[in-house]
Amino acid sequence: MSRKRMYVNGFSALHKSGIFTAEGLKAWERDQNGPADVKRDQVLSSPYPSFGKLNIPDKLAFSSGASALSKVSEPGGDKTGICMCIPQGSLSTDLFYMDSLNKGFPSPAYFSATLPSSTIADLAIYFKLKGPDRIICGGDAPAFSALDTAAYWLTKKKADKILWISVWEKSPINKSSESDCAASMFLSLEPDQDTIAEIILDHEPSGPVPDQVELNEQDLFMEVIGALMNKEQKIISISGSGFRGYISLQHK
Amino acid sequence: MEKLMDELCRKIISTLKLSDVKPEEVDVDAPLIGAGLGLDSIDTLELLVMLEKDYGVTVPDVNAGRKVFSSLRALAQYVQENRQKEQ
Amino acid sequence: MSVFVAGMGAISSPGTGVAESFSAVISGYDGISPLSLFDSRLKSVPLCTQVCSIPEKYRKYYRSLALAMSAADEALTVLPERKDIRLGILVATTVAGISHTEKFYEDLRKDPSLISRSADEFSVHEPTVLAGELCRHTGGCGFHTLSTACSTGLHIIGMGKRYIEQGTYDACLVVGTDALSLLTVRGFASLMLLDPNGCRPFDKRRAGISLGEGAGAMLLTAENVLSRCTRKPFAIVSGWGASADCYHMTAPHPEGMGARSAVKAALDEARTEPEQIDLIAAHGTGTPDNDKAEIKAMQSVFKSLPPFCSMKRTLGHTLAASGILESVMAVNAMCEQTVPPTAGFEIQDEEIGVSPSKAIKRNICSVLKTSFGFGGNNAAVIFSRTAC
Repeated sequence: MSRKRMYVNGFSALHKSGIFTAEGLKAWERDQNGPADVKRDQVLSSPYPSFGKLNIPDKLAFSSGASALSKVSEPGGDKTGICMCIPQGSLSTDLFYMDSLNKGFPSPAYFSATLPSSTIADLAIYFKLKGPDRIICGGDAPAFSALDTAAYWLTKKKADKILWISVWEKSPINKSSESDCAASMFLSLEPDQDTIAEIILDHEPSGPVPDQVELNEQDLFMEVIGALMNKEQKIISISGSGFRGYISLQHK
Repeated sequence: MEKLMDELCRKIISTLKLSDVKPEEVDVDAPLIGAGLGLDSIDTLELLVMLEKDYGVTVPDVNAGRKVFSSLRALAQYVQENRQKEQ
Repeated sequence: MSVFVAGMGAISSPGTGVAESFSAVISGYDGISPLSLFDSRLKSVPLCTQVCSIPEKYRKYYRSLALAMSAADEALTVLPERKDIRLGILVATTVAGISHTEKFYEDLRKDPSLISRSADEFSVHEPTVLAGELCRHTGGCGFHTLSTACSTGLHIIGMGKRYIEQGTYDACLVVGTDALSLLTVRGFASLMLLDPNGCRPFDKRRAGISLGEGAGAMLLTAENVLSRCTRKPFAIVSGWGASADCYHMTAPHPEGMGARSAVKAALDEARTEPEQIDLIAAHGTGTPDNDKAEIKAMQSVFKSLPPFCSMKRTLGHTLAASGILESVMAVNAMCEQTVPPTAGFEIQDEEIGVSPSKAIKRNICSVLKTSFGFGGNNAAVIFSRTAC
């Protein structure tokens, strides 16, 4: 892995403990069980009639992405792309669609939502993000793979800004699966007025590496989000097929 | 007719899960697609499914569809006329 | 650093293997027939392309995995000794194991006691599981899956190119696979996107798509791996580009703005001028909107449009597999120096103003392949001959 530096210009996460933003951690309201119950006005100040139509993975991704972009001066652009990872794919939406089909009235809206691309389409259309977009839905370390792709596109000038999103949806079948979660970072190659921190991907760490407990990707990236929120330095090690490296976070 | 328009308005809002839209704020003579409620082609297809499932009413072609969805009033008129024919 | 197409594989409705599939494409074979694999429960039986014969050794696997293995094994025949090669497996699929899970879900509705089997039965639902199986089957050291609907196949070619340039892998096997399923057939029917007469790309009377199934595979390698291959490479992957329309969930931008950006990005990366493109292997699905928007996009990039074709009537719209399967055919066309015809096209649409090419012999040094997915996700790849 070669060294890649990016700048974080906005971030957000929806986690079982609450909504993480630059303003701090906001706990869920009494009538909300977690991220899947997020309300539009918690992440987006303008009305958005389509918000209620979003299925759970789309809502998680859209909410996290919208929240990350909420304080950014110019989110849209011809070379602003999206790089998303959704490791568990679209099972929950597929089952909704299959139910409608089995009732004799297959739903066109549910069908078009079964494609993971529908998630980024909602964001791209709303915020006018016209650059390249990609969804990684599996493999080794998919969230890191999406972040590495973002770094590559920025370095190669395929995009000048990228919204990185990772969505982890609780499985409708496996009750002991991880809870719903979504994390986003708005990244650029050059710092600008919105820049909060610098993030480096490299095979060497940019400082001393603390002992790291073996964590899954969701927890690893929540550590990064937590460090962004608390304005802390952070170094975490990541490994997957074909690479072993470090994510180093340094505040501005 | 007023009752049917109100019923259809609520069905549209619930079928399409339109948050931030209140039935009393919907203009009954505004277009349903594009302007007005701002529905798109997938929403239109969802409504066609709803009309068939809940009212037994079908729309034969695109031209008929344009008239049917030209407003809430036009939609209610169409449902009322075709419901009677099919009963 | 150049990235080479060292090996190719394919399985499609008209043929098992690249040679049979390409023979059908170049002869303008009409690949569609009434759906017989399962009952779609539609009033009229849709016209699709269906793989009639899956090689025996793969039949124990669920359909999309069987197709993927068949194409993958063919592509890997050029690199029989590969234990010390870092091989990445990249997979494009929309349905994955849905043909299996939708049957189980129907059984589960009738017999709720089957819930105890649900974790196992649903385990094949996700694309990542298919990619993992393929990785084990081929001896890969890592696997990745993407899902951006119909543009996925070209996205994984771009991903494979990047991994080799970065040195993450020495070689990448990029595989696109999709099988027919009730979910997709009924889904496209509910969106009124199926042409009851079969797709007619760019034709004046076109009215929609014809779904298909199949798999395509390309073995992409760095130059230093070529000496280990049993034959010379077929082509170079010289450029890749992608963009978003920001327009609609299922309809393309009417002026093809997003498609234009993707093609320009590919041309920039390939350092190729538009006039150096000798053939466009178009997305050409046969929907009124796509074909019109696609030509508008091309006309905004190319002063003089090169010959173009669509393979969708011969191969069907194989969704995520289409980018790779059709790229395999496009590279073959370049090797054979022959522009394929477009099966299903007869009458020019005055609104489009141009017609796809007939089958002609032509000097082809660079071919552009385009794919456009739901949600306005666009991708373009340029392949160049190794010696021109």
